[in-house]
Amino acid sequence: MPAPSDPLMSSPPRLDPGALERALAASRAELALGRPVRRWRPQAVGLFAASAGMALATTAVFVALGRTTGSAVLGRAPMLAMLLATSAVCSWAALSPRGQQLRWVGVGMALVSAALLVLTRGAMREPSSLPEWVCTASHVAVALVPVAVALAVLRWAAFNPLRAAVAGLAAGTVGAFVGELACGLGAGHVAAYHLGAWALVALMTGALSKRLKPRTYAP
Amino acid sequence: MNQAMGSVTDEALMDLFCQGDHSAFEALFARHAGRVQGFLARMVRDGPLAEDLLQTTFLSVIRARGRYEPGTRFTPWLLTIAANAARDALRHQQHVDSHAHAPPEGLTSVPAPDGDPVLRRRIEDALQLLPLEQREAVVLSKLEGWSFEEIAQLRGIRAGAARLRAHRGYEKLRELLGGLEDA
Repeated sequence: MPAPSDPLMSSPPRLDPGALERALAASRAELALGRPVRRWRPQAVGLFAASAGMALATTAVFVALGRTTGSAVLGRAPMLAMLLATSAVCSWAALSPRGQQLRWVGVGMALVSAALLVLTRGAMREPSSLPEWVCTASHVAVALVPVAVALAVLRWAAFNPLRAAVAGLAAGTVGAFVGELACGLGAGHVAAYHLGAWALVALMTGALSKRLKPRTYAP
Repeated sequence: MNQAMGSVTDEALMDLFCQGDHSAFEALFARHAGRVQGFLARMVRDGPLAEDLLQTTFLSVIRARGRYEPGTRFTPWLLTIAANAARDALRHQQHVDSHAHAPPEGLTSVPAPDGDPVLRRRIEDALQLLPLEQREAVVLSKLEGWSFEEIAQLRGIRAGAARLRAHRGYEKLRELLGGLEDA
């Protein structure tokens, strides 16, 4: 008796013979549209630019409004640089077709950044009259533009939960960046309301990305 | 044009296509469309859906050519796209079926092939009863000749996990086809 799979290997199930012609016609119609080639590297740079640009623009506004000073920004420069580096690595890893290992590096950098945000904060720097959840809402609000960019570029590849979450981490660095400059509350507040918002942005990006129909199923 | 490209590798054709040579795409389509069609037919066992997915796969190749990295082996890249499309479609179908409380209609919508149609249909029906991950592992390893490392790379899992999925798929197939051995 032949092995159960042998008949399967002999020939595939028959389909409508016109299927190949119709698929080729659809492909030719797509090519005839002459759409530009979407390359993943510019998309990764675009995601990073959206996150970093939003962070730097918000910083400029804070300095202009007197909410912070240039010297205060310089004093936090190592932490801010770490957040920008995390955003860059996560953006690249999320869009790279072969970035599986780099995605875990991005997750690791985000965890290190999160730990540093808490550990370098220490005690409360200044009291606040606003409720603490305002930081969470602000964190999510400033991340909306980068999240929109992330969702747009993620549609050019097949959905992958880790890829989407890492893109969300890249988008969420803007909130951590702004929170580092604008919030003077203590480490416990940062851990709960800032990092919680960063995780929320990552999860939100993953959930929304899963619901959007991808434009391609490429890896 | 396609004759002139007969000796060109898939990867070189894909590089040419990425540089704007549409005839290179047509050559790739001529080489691989039949194989992709067979793979999709086995994965979804639904003629109209398989045809849709065939179109989706090659549309993805066109739209995602900016994601193709030089040096990547073309056939696994192409079948990864097809597998991703099939998986997405089947998940959507399962979701719709679960809400409709109706059994999937795909099991008999593809005509039986030549040979022993009864045996063939039983095997293909049994294949459709496997969980999606196991079916994919069985089809890719047994029928498409992929290594477990390649399947693992496709799904972002370890090679051992891919081997386990295929092994469980074979075991389930043996259970489902137990009656064949008695016949």
